[in-house]
Amino acid sequence: MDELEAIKVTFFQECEELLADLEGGLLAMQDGTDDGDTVNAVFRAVHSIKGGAGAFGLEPLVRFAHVFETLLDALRSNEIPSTQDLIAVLLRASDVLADHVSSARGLGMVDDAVSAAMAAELKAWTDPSYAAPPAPEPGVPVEAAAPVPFVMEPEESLEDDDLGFDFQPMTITIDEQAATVFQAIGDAWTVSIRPKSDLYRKANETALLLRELARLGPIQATLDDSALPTLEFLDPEAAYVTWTVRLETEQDEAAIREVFEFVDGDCELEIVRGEAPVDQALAALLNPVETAPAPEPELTIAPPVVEQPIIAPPVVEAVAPAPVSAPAPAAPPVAANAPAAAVAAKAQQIEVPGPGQSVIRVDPERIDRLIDLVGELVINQAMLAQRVGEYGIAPSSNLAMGLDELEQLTREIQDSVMAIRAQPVKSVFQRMPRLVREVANMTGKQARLVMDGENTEVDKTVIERLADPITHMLRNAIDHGLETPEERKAAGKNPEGVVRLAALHRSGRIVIEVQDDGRGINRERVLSIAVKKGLISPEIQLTDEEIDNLIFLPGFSTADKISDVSGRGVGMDVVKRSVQALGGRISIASRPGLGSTFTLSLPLTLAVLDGMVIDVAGETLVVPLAAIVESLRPKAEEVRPLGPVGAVLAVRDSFVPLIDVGLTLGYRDTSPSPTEGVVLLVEGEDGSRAALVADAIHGQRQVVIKSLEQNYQQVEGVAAATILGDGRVALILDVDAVIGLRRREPPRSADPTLIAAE
Amino acid sequence: MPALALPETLDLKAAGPLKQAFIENRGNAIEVHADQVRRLGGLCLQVLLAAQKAWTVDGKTFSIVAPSEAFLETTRLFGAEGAFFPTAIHGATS
Repeated sequence: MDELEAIKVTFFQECEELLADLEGGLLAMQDGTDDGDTVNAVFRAVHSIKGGAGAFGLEPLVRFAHVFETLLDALRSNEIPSTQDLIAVLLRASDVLADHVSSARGLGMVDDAVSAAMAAELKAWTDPSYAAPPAPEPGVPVEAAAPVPFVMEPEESLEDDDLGFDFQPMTITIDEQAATVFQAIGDAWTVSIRPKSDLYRKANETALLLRELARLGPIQATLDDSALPTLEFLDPEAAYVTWTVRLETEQDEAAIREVFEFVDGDCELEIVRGEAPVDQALAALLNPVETAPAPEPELTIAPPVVEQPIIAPPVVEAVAPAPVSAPAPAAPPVAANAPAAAVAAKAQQIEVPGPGQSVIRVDPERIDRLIDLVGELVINQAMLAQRVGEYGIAPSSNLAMGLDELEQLTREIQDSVMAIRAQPVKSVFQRMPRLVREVANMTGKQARLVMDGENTEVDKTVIERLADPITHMLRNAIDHGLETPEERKAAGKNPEGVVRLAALHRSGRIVIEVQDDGRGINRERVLSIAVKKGLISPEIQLTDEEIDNLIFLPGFSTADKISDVSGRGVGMDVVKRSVQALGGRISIASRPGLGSTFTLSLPLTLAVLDGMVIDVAGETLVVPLAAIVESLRPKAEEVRPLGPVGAVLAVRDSFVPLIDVGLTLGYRDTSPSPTEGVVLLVEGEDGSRAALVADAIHGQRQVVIKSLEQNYQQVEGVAAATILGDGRVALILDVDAVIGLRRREPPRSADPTLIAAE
Repeated sequence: MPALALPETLDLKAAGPLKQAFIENRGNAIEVHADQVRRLGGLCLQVLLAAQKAWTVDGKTFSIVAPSEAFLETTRLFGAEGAFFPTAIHGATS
């Protein structure tokens, strides 16, 4: 079962890609930037999803995909003209299809009513007379189970059969019992499959065709390897073997043919209703108990090689290796056909893009492990360098030079490994067009999403956590930022609002911008709400920028009524918190009447960090370099006591609070004078500054981040841990949390004068 | 008895090397280990069938051992399990 699960996982991965292709194609059609093949690509995406879903028996998904696909088929064959209305419907259908995929995956549920309505809508396009809403059972009604024509006639199809011998019609009588078995099961079909070499060359696979056939009903494949040359003369990339498949299904011929849609032209196909002549399966049915000897030897049409016990209909269970003793005709008639040399290719050949040859799928866990190991390597290398340094080996010695090279190499390996895990933000961005459509629909706004920089790469650890903030910001931009079409018209703007989502690299960080051309932040209202909710005191004077930033306060919501979309008061402060948890910051710029821009800046990776190594009360700590503005040794006259316990540091005409890290983290109960230590001037994510007091600075270093939550537990004031060159564990400070801790708690010390002590 | 371990994926790209591997082992009884196989395609199936025939012609033992579930399932799908896993196939001629 493990294996099936693994295949299923691959299927869902492919679904993600296919859904993205589908949406991309439809959007291109909407913008008019499609080419002739776009509609085919769109059709193929849906068809592939349907095919895979069928193999796993995901019925609701298959049913919906089928209706969808039928409409797309009509569209690509120009039976239905492509209009903007139709494409809008198709886009919404692609959303429902995505829901079905998610639901099949066990993530979320499909709204059956929505799905049925969508299916009905799709159906109505292909068949205008169709009106009844319930989602139809796709596929053609089962034709009355005609008695299987056991009396075989030399059918046309068989005459095409260039097997190189004459076929003798033959009458087989069958006992009643077997006959009833047959009818009870449904119609039997015989499908002859003759793959051409091109089929394999285009990365298609007979096994998949068989598997897809198997989902229509129980199959029994019989292979014919009479054309197979001896091993020496075998071209490993040419197709020789052909198959005859006995299929029992209630579906019609079109459904069977559909299985081969992709390989049209690369595979000769014959579909015959009823049993194949002198099919072994039939022979077995006739004589279910005895092992059937190969039928009439002169009737060489029987696929000669494989003698196997033909188990009655539900074929695909029972593993039991064949306990059959029937002699295998080892030397089959060689007059057989060369399947490759065959009839002219059928009408239209659909080029199926093979799975990208240059792309490999790797379990992310393996990469994570590799990154961990490289992290260890970096640490180890640092330890080695330190040891060598301790022995006082001359920097010009071979050993020291070798170590330098090792360091270089280690760094390069680390960079390359990080690059493996870097992914374009596209994977997150591509979910957004749907979101914008839905939100716009719900709020009655018209919105167009413009995306930029989708290929900007970020470490996977960051990508995974980008989706939520971006989702929130986009919702916010549409719900609060954009005006209604009427308001926009009145303001002389295009009724359709534009939301721009962009990603770019800036000084070693990734910046995400969400920009709308809406009304901008209503500062008066923001201010009055903040005052009303008691978030700020009414006397306080705020700059425009400060007012804009009020929306990040917890519990702030400007929506007059609580909408479905946003405005639950959890919006922007949640965004801010999740961004900060990533070591990022968020800011807003707004111009009344012209719109707002949210800017999100994040580190490119959460795996390594540039930090300042400091010493506090005998402990080694790392302060993220990004937070440090400057470091200095304070002079006595710059330290001023403030209140009973605090002290501030005068830095260039402003005062910043002094925070003793050792005291805040509980390393010591009393603080030494700040003048004896070093002060790191840091800036919190909100722009607030503080001066952290440390005993000494060891230097700047790149460190590998080890999660504390995963290996131990969350510790307030500490973001993560790392291992230093000397093998010691050092904690990485969470600067914001340290500032916050300091603000909330008075120092544990009973003596209030300690910090301020001169 | 020489053993030949089949790779995980037996697709188009694996067919050539697989044939080569068989040709190099020709003339000796062979054990083909199929425990790693996760995907078996039509082309490699052909190579396996041809190899099996070649070994039969040589009168040497050709056995597939420890087939993975995927290998079994796919050979069954292909209708080829009888060729690979019968008990009395060796030396049978007609």
